[in-house]
Amino acid sequence: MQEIGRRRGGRTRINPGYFFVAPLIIVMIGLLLYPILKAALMSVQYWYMPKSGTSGNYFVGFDNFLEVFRDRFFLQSVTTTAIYMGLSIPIRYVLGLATAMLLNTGFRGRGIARSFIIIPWAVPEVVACLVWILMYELDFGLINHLAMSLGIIQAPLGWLTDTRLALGSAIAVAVWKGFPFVAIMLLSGLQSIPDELYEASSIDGASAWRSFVSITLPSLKPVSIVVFLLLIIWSIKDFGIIYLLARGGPSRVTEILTVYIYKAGFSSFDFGKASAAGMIMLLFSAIFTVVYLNIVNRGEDA
Amino acid sequence: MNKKAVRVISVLLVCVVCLFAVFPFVWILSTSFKPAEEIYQTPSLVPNNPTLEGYRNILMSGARQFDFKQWLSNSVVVALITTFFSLAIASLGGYGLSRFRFGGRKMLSYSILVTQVIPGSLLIIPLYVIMNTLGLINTLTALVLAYTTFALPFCTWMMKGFFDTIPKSLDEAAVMDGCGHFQTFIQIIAPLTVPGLLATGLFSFINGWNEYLFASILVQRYNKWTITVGLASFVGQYSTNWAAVMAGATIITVPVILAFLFLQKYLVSGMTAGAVKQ
Amino acid sequence: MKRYLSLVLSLVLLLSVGFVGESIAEAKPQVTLTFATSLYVEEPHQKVLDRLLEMYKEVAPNVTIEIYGAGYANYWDNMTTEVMAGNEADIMQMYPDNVATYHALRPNGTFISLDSYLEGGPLKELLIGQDACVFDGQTLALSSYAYGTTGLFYRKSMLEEAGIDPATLLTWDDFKAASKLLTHDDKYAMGILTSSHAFVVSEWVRQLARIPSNGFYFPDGETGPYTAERINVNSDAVKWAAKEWQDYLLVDKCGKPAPDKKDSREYFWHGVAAFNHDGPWFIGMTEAAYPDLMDDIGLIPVPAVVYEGETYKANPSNYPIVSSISSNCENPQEAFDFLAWMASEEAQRVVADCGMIPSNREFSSSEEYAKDHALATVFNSFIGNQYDKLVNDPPIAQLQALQQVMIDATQAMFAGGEDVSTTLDEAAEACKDIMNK
Repeated sequence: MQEIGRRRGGRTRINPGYFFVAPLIIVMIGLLLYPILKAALMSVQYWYMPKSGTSGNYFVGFDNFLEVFRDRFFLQSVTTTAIYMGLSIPIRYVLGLATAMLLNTGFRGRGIARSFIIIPWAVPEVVACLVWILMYELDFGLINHLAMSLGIIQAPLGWLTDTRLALGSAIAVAVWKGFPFVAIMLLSGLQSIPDELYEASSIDGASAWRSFVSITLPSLKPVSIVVFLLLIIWSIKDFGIIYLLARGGPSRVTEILTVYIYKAGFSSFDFGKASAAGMIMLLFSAIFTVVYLNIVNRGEDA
Repeated sequence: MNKKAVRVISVLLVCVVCLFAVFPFVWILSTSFKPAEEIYQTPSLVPNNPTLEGYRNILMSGARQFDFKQWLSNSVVVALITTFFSLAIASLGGYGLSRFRFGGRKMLSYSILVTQVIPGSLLIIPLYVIMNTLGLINTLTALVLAYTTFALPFCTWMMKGFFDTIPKSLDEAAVMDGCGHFQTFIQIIAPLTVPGLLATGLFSFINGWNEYLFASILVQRYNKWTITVGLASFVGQYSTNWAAVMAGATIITVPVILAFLFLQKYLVSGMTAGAVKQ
Repeated sequence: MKRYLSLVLSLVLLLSVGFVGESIAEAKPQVTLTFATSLYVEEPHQKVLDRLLEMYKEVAPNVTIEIYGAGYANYWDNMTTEVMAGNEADIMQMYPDNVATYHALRPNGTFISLDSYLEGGPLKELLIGQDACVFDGQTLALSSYAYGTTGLFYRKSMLEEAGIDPATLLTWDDFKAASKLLTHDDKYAMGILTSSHAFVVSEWVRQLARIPSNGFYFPDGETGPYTAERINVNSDAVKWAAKEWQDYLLVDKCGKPAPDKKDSREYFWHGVAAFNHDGPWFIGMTEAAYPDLMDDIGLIPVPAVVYEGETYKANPSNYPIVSSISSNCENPQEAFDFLAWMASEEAQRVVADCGMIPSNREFSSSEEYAKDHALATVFNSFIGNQYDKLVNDPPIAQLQALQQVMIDATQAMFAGGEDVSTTLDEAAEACKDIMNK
């Protein structure tokens, strides 16, 4: 491929690509890189606020990190995050896929249906959490009312107050909020699959399930890879939904890693420990993302 | 199973999914018209004694400083300016990454993705300190800067995808004709990515409109609050004015839904080109 | 023409001299103060604060006060961020619990000492809650707004129906017996918090744990020296109190789980719970939301506790809303003047409308106040009679961290049903670690 960047012959010049990406780099260095570096610095300093005012923020090496690893609530939050991601991502995907396939069949009112599906995505997190809190309410909440009227449960359940149910309830809200994005992405993927493929396979006598497995899923692979990547990235740093729903409670059962970091700082006032936990999380997320991309790219090049 | 049965079942299932998606919003609407006593009783879909109390409370708060309309305009301003800057910088960056091979290109691509995993809670204090040093606390500028920064990675990535779908031969032809690179970008390539710009712009706007955490930290004067922060403040220490909260929620969400409705066509085609054909 | 002109000119001159003269006489520099409070978003307080600012504009026209502050949920984290960046307000309202923690966020202290301003004045003795504003020998805050302690509100009709005479509920055992009578069908004795809110600890502590132990975190009324060895959370009295509360909730099931204090108030208002442990602010809230209920609401003091044969009077916390002045404030004298004015009778008369008890001792014990605020005055009568000396949480910087440990412990015990002895021993270890940090 001819490279657009260089003029034939003559002296070297700065690749014009740099000019195009310059604003991007400036913004990212100023407003992203600097805070991360500052947080990294805080993670190796003493920032226990009740005392650090007088003693200063002296260097403590890896003490903060050790304290994080020794804290059983850190390990608990890692497990909780794993469960949160392990459940909410596949459920979002499956629900989004089913929705996309349903929307792809021709029927009147498809446009309206598509508009309805988008609503959870459009609603701000704050609003979503508030209405779900209201619906999850023990006595006056809609969900208990409906479930009891339909005979599904005998007594009202504490969706957000029962330690066994809270995480599931939070995941339900995350799924509600997140599946429209998956549906839209997959729908666009589905719409780019040429009809001839399906016609050919039905002429060959393949069943609907076979078409699904051998045509639909493989054709959706590129989109799905992207969708999964985005879902993982966004789930990792998810903070708003959990925090606004239950602040990590009750009894810390919904405390995912991002909430743990927030509370280590703002509730326990140890910003060194919070930054250390944040750095650990950032490191693992970054490694994971890079590895994921490598596998995916290598797979595609092969 | 014949085609008609499949159709009917599909429509039914679609209805179920739509119900799941829409119902909470319907509940928001319904609660916004309920008087206070009704909210803490057996829930009913249609309010027994509908009232505009909630809307009145939130739109015409008696307090000197609580001006919902001011918050609304703040949110609009912040979201629009964020969108503008995000699109501008992301298009430039995406074009650069798509067309030119320069040193550090791969690393830049990777870091764009990796920066998306940075947890917000880690950045709160450092970002506040930066904004404070720049004297930007309690300004809408701080929000625009922060939101642009958060939106840029994803927007750049999307725009790069769009540019990748446009054959480089077009650029080459333009260069042959004597166009400079920037000219090529502006006059020839960018107009072809309108769906991409719309999709990315919508995404950026939504993010700016809906954001809560950093708005609540960076901007603390009542007249500079955005809508999300203002709304959350009605959840008080002593009691929650649910009707007012839901009335505000309705007012906030309806424009977003409308925006999605009008632009969803582009959203779908935009996502296709930008993300699918990577 | 010329004469006319000179007439006009001399008039103009006269007027301008007049103006200049006036402004010279009045020339006080314009001062702007920023005032941060978590109360502005709450309805009863909003009206009070607006009125106070209006009134003060007349008292001191050269002072402009800008008020801001998020709701209770975000206010503290915002204050942390601001103080760490050196960007906090000139005047900050908070509770005595918070003063030590925030004061320690900066090397030379976040707040200025008010001792020099208070010297020779009446405020130290006049203001209720002022004794909770002294940290390490320095007065760091002024309790010039309002205060409240807690008691047990009850629904008269519900108690009548169960045949309970509230005057007989003198001890915890009496209260327990009455609770069992009140718990049937869908009705409960009380709403009990089960979330991650700090109230989860304080409800239990104020009604039970702190009474026989006379100090939950530290003994002797939460006094110092504040060292790890003196941590009191796993003392026998506290363990006993934990078992009692656990049985009350999980065995007798007299408490209805509530995710937030607001919900337990709603239960009370809607006749689902017969009691509500709350303060005078609850009166204001009820009057605003359900004024017709006021006739059905009574108030008794938190019952005494009989432990190992001895009777201990209740000692719930005092919650004055106090204000501190930042060390970055450029006009500390004007800031102090405003806070001192808030304690004046005219200001306190306005403050009384927020529902809490005005901290000006003379005003809140006056007949005028008693006439308009009958129920709130009842609280005043508890203090010194049914209540022992009110005990607040220890005024140390580590308090919030200690509270966090206890929140986890109380949730484990009262929501999770775990063994109280082991849970409290573990919590004590964690508290000692914090004190030793």
